[in-house]
Amino acid sequence: MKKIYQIVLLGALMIGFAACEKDKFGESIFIDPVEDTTNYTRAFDQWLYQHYTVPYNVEFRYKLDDNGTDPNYNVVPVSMGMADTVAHLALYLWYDVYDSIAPQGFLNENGPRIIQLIGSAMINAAQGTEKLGQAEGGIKITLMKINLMETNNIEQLNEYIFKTMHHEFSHILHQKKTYPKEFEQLSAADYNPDGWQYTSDTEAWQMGFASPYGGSQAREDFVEIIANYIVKSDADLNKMLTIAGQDGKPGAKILNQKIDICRTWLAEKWELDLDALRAEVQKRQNNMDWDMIMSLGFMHEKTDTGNGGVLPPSAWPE
Amino acid sequence: MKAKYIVLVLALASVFSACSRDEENLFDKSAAERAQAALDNANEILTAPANGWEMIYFANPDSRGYNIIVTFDKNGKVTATTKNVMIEYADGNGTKKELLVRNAPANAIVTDSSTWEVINDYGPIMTFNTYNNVLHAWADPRDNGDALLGDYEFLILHADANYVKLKGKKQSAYYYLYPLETGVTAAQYFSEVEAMDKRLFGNGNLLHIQANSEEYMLYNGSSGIFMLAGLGESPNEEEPETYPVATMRNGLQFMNSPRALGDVRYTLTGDKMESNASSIFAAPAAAYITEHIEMAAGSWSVDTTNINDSSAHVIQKINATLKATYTKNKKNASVKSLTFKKTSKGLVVVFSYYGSSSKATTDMNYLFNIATEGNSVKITYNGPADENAQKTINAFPDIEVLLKTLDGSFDAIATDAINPSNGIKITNKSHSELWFSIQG
Repeated sequence: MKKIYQIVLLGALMIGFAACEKDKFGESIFIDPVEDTTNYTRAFDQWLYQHYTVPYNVEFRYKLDDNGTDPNYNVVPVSMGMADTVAHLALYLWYDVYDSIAPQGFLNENGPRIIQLIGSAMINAAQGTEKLGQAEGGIKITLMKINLMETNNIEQLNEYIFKTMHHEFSHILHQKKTYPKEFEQLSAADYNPDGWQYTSDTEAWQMGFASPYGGSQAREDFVEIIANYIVKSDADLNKMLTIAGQDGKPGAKILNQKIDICRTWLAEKWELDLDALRAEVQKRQNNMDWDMIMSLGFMHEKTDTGNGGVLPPSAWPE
Repeated sequence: MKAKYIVLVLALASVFSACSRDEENLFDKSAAERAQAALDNANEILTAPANGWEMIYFANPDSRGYNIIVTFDKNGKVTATTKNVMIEYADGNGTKKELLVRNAPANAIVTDSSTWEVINDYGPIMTFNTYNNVLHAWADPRDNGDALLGDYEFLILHADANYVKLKGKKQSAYYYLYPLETGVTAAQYFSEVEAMDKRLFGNGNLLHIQANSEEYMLYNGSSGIFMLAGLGESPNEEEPETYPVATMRNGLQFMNSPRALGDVRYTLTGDKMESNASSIFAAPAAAYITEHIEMAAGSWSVDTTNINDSSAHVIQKINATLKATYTKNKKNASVKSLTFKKTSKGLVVVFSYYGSSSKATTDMNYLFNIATEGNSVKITYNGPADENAQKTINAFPDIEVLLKTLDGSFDAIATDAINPSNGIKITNKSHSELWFSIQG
């Protein structure tokens, strides 16, 4: 009797514990996607994977998911043609530049994880402003107004894309390693978060800002100094510094101080040579050979990291 | 021993109750499988029509409807075609007019290809996720940043082989797609839409909508936004009840059903546009003549080139007198037009003629009255409206002879009953040889 009792008890307990075996979940409730080899964008998507995702660990997004944008603005996607052009240009004027200047693995470790292209600007008609780009949490850089870009206009390319990329990437860098406090002190009394858009270039330069937007707040000032220094041509850089120092204005002196701080910070914190970066960008901007760019003829080219003909800082007007 | 039985009973009870918390599956497939099935279904339906869909695009809940031909390929490519019309939008300084597709010529038929996808979000969402000159033209921000408030991501509310209904994710307007018959080209499609638009709304058109015993009036259809009012009433001036609409090749597509009658698509069949439970039509010609003047502030022009012999003869006499009087403008001195319209003096016929100038006309007003009497219209001539009009008659007495041929009771027959404004023939009931063609 005792044995029967034990067998029944053991059996009952085993069934009891095993009864819910079917509740175990598989690896995912979602159905594994099947690769569509006929997809209209497959060739471009594969190209992006090969040239962005594999080497730089970055997702290059050109198809727009409206959830990823600010609902307070009306934006439209980028055209496929412009996405293709910008993808090639960004390799030429940005990724490959860092590859040739920065320590190995720098972009893999610090570069943005997502580049999002948007066709239009984010226009705030009430304030008279428009956003050309934004960086989010060191993860994503959004570039706007791409559809309106004139590809043979390097100033516009810089304004819409590359200055914005250097600007937003510098945000990512200083969010990881903060910039020196002394930078904030240089223009502490002049920042104007609400009225910067009413400042002209000349006024901004003479106050020691690289652009009107740089006068909005210190962190924007910091990244605008870096971005403008890298992309401005020698002539434009000299013009900015000359005008900044006219009529005894302190702008040129402040700008030089800020550039020095940025230069030192990039060298010490990131092992990046700001002047070499600038020289490489300038060299490439002056050689916009579209056949070479679209065929990626520039890739992995190692270049002279010297000053590249840029007017040395010592020659700039105070 | 008793304790053993208690333990045994509890153990057995656990066998039967172990999974009692489990509920029966309400669905035969998992949520992910059902979501995927919805995407597959939408993909299947959208890519099915060989010649694509005609898409009625209401940019936003306050926008008129626009026509697009759109073809979805299984490989994710979408091709869209539209006619490049002028659009209006509000900027800080008022209303601005621009071409819909800014980089294409006016009235050109514009085609562009890009990508589309059905994704999972709040249910299946159809998205045009790369820029298309046609599909994003309404959403592309203009200088004011506001764009025309069009959408390019849509909730799929209904999809079958007959039609697809979408809802804009941001602006919440409704969009409708119908399969386009094989063989219909874009040029043919837009030409037919334009012809139908001219037929329905050329020269203005005041329509009626009826469901069961309820009847309302629809004003201002040519703007693409109907204003609805009660029968015999004018639209509320401050807050009119409006219904965006688009002209299709065979009728009309509303964004929302007027007065929630349940119908949004009306097909022209004979003299009416019919839907499931309601119909849209114009008043009979005799009634329409007065409605057009009294309620739609419209006018009627008498065709002086297509007119009864007697009146034509009088016009010839007037022309001869004018040429004899205005010798310096002998070549061009002639009758220009006769137009019934309502003015501050009341209903008048504006008699317009070229006198001393070949460029500017002289207009004289003569009082009339028009009233509908059953199936006919009674027109009464009441004399000159002012002293100058009297002087003109004194100088050219045949003008009054001509005006008096318009006096009488007339039968009225519309050339096209769905829009009498495009032409009505009125024939004097007592003198059938006296007939006139009038246009709204």
